[in-house]
Amino acid sequence: MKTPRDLLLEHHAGADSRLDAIRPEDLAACARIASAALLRQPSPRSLQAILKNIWRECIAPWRRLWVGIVAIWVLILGFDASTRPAPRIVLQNTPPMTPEVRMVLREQRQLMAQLLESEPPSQASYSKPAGPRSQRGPSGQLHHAAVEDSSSPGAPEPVTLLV
Amino acid sequence: MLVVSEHEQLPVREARNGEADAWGALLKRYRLPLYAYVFELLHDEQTTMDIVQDAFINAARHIGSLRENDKFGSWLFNIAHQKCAQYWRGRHPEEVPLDAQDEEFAGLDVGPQELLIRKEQEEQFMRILNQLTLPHRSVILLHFVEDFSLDEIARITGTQLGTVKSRMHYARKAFKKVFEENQA
Repeated sequence: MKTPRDLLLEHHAGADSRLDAIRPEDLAACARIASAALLRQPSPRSLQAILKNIWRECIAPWRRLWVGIVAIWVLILGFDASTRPAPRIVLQNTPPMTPEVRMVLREQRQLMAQLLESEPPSQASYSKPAGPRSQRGPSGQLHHAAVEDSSSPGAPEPVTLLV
Repeated sequence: MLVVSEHEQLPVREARNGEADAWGALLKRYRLPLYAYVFELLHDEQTTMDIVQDAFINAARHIGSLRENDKFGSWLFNIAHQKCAQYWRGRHPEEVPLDAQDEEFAGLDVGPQELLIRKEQEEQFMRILNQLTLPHRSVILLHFVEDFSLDEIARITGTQLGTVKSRMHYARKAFKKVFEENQA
């Protein structure tokens, strides 16, 4: 009685002599060359190596979990996009402009253009409104009354009255 | 030349340092099982020789990347398995790929030492083995030849553990008659 292993190895025992073609010296030389090349490399900390390492240690073992998280995010973004009111729809729902509205808009634009084109008032051309403040209107709480013709030599000093 | 028995510590550290004796011991230990595994999958002598040779050369080149020394066997078989899958895909693109996934089945793992074959059943055993589909054959060969654990077989073949259990179950079912007769 044989185990399946014994049977299979016995079945292929004839190949053993042919397998002598694989020489241990060659394999050892391969290993030495590879390890020497590995030692010559300054540091495998390239970006590619880091990314590979992250993939191998952080992502690949929990591949299903990551796929699940991505799927959930896709669902959330899809739901958000479908429920958000689209601005285009608002534009489409607004009624078309009537000729009157257009005319008013045009007038307003022209007015705005005129205002912008007109020169700003200079400091020199600015003049105080004529007359004392007391005659301008009852806007201030402090009311001043000035005696007319105060420039005459014999006239008394203007008196300020508190009302 | 260093000779390593089944349960001895493999001289992987020495092989990593490029010692020819260590490579000689590893060759002696694995070349024939690896040859049997590849040949039973592909049934082509020259291709089998090429794949076994390539697998050892690749192992020598990349032994620096092997993390656990005691996993050398499954690592070497994994290299050979990938080469077989590559060859199979090139030759038989329409057939069941070597890395196809089956439905999961919680089968039982039985050690290959418990399965014995009588002289008159040897031919029958080989015939049944060759009738199995490639993925099933691959799993049962790894189990028979090297007694790899289900986890190791899953890693070598790049399939899930449940798939390996399922394949093992179907393969064992195919051999049922041979084994049951012997147990009786």
